[in-house]
Amino acid sequence: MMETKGLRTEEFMVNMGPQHPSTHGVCKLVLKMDGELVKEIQPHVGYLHRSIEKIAENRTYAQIVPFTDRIDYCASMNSNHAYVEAVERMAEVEVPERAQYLRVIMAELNRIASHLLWLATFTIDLGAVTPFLYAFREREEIMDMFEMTCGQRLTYNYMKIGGVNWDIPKEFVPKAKQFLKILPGKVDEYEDLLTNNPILLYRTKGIGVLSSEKAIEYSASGPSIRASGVRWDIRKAEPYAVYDKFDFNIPVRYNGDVWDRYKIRLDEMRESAKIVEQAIDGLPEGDIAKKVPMTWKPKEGEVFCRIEAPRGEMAYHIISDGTNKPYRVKIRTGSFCNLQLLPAIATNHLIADLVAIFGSLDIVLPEVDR
Amino acid sequence: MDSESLLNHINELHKDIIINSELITDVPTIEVKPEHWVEVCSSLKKDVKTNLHSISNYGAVDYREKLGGFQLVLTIFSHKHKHRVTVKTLVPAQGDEEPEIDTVTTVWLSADWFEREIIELFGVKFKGHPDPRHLMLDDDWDEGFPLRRGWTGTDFIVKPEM
Repeated sequence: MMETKGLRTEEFMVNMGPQHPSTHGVCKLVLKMDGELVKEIQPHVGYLHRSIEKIAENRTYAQIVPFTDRIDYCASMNSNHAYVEAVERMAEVEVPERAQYLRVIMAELNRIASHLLWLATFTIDLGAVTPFLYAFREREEIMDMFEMTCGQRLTYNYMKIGGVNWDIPKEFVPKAKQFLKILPGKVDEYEDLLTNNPILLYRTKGIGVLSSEKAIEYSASGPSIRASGVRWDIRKAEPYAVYDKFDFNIPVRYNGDVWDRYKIRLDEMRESAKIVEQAIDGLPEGDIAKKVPMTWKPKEGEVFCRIEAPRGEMAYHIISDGTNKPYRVKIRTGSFCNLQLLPAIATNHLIADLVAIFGSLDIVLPEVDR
Repeated sequence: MDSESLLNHINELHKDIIINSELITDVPTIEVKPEHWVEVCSSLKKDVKTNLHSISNYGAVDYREKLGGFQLVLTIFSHKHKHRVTVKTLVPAQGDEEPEIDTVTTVWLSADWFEREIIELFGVKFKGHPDPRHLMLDDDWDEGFPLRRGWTGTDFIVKPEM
């Protein structure tokens, strides 16, 4: 309760959401406010709960792939990748090398697209409209590349068990090379606009600090934990696909505030561009998929497999009972754990800062609800 | 420490408690009785050689028909040693029973939402959970526990065999 010279404010409750422009999807935050100060946050999720885990129990292994697109629609390639990688690891399916390279190219391009989308929405949350248009301009190029490969712009259904569904068309490589040539310059442009912009600094520096201990305690992952000084990237720590063949860095920052989480995603875009470049240069010839029959039945067993998605660790725990449908599929996503720590870092901040903090965690609600 | 020596170390640590241990796709996996669930979990977090501070995944599996209960599968992970371990336990249950087990939110804060999800979707209760409200489902949901095998709801139709 704040007391200032005879004026008394009372605590009151505010429903932020479910339909709120800065919650990026449908998430309700029940806030206990003291004036402008947020005293307590209670996230309410589940508005987008489609129970993909239940649906998966009633579909064959191949039929589940399109559903994984809908888990994180901003990074469908990565969601696909996590699932097919898990199934292949469980059933010991060998994937042709060209398919592995194509998967890495698509996953990294999607990571760039996802970070661009994040940059666009994050800056618009803070009131800067121009970077939104800039970021969408570059994202459009990536969408074009995906469209020419698999005909879709949002939910790609590109990967399948044993490989990928389509090979890249011949226009893809020149377009990708052209894009990778301009991307670092464009990221510099965003940095010119934003990084040392006094308004952005004022809104982000020292706001929503997530210490490394807290990040570990709350099982944070992805850029959110790397901005808190924990060097943890599954692409390096437990290389999957062909990530061990590429030379790239893991950007790490140590303050754990909103600004660090902003900066780290810009750095990651540059690193992802490096990976795509190497993968395109080293792209081997050959098959794009191993033939897996439609009525395929993996042997009994289980697997726990995780990959680094743009929003953190995405993991599948799949149990097979020897039939053509999985017995159980448990999906763990980065946003689920990252949203859980929001009350821990955003209480006792101003409500305007809450918007910045929420934006900086890069939550995608369908990924939380599944 | 590689997976095998980690598994040996954990086996050594809880000699009389672990009922089953194996390597599943190179992840050390142990199974304990429900009464030792919290004890084993907190010691795995505290032990300097394991130091499993983060939750990687935490879910339940409906094994009522096969094993007579719900299996909790908890994959935990150490940022310090870069290794992970899966701990399993079987909470006995038959039919519509709603069994109960101790919560591990006392060990890991991030277990909170994972357990809330298990409570509403599987009907496994957690003794001592700080906030056992529904997470995904409506507050007034009364159509049972959707992730149990054989559950059918108003809108859910099991797809016919192909």
